[in-house]
Amino acid sequence: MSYKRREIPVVITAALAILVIFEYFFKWQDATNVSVRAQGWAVILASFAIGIGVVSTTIFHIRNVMGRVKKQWYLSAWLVFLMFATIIIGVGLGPDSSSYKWMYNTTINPLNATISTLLTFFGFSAAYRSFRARNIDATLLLVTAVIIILYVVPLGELITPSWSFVGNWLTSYPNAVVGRVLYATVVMGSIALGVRIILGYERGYLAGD
Amino acid sequence: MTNEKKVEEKSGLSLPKLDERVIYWALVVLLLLPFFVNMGIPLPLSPMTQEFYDYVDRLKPDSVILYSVDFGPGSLPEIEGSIVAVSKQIASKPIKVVIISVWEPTAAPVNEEKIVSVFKAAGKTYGVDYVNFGFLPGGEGAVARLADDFKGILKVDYYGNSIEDLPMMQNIKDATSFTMVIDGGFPSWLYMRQNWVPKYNIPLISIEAAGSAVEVRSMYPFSLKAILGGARAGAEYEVLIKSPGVAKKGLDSVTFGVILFVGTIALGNVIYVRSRRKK
Repeated sequence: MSYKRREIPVVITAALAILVIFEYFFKWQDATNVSVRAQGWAVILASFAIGIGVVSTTIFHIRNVMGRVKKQWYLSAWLVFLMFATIIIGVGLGPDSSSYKWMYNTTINPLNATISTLLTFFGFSAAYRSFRARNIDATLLLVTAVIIILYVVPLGELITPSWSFVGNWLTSYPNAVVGRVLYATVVMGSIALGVRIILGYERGYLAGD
Repeated sequence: MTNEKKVEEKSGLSLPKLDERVIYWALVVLLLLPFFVNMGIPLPLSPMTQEFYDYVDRLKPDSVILYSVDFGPGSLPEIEGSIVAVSKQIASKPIKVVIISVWEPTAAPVNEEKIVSVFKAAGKTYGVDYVNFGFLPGGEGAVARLADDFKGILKVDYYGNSIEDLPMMQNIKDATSFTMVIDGGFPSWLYMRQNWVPKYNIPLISIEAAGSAVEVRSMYPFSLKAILGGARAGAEYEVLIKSPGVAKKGLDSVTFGVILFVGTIALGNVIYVRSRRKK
């Protein structure tokens, strides 16, 4: 990778990162103005990513249609048709139009819910096959899971009022403590990664390097 | 073939002999039953649900809240009761609401269907009492920018109206213009927690699915002041706002599903233990 394609992006990234960090901790209006503008660019870039997603999806599926890929091309054609119909109606008539709402409520809404629900069935099947008290560790996990499952519905409290206390204790103490440790380590890792990016050691975001 | 598999098959009690279709059909029947028959399962009120309710209830007139909800249609069976009930409580108070989603692109139509419709039914005026900004792309960066310069990033609402034409938005500058953030969904609460709470000290309460509610519990009561978790909380909230809805029936359905879930796990373990003893 050439000098221009490696060092310049690293310098820009480091400068912006230092600016945003500096602005977060110190009140300096000029830094805030630049930081806010830079974050605005990030939002614009993210919006572009949606457009790139549409383009790459279209290219992939149009190729399937053009190549008459077996058992695939007609599904690809249907996908492209629906995607552009949604975009045209959504952009053209607005998201509060009855046509757009009808499309959403009669297709995306029930289909999305159906996919999620199917996972429940697979989860049931997997649970009864694999959730076994094979050893002490697995037994501990099993017992805790059953306590929490019965805690999040009123069933546990109907068995005994103490169930709520046990469930609350498990989520408030062992669970919360482990969660805090997890988040703390993630933050420490993120800081280390940030420092590596600022110093130019981490260049994974530069294509081809 | 593993040793456990061999043991199970020799004992004649191997798990695969229980046809999956039996479990699936039992689940279908148990999940549907509460929607046709009133099961009358008692519902004790959780302290956490009461705490969430009190936070919203204490909001003073003309408070402005950011209502950031990121549930797609797949989450609705579990979470619909919560967001509708909370929206009804908010709509019953003289407070101003900014609706947005920052993580899940499919959440904007859900918010339109489940939140905006509640405000309309309550007679709230768009642009004066509430504003809907739909989905804001950009993840955490966008949420950080919202906190620093709200109007710098949002120029139009979900319906294409200029932000300058919305009376309610005239006094909104940055995070300091808001009294509280009600977040719904994982991990958008994390964006809010990191960019709205420490820097601007805005109270954050969160609506979560049952699984996420356990996970975000680690942030309670420090950066998350209250959590409304899962179908149960939605059903409890309906009781609190005295407006029965779908959540209670949904919770009864989930409860029956859980009975089968725990039952099948127990069955699997009984068969497993008996297999081991026979060996």
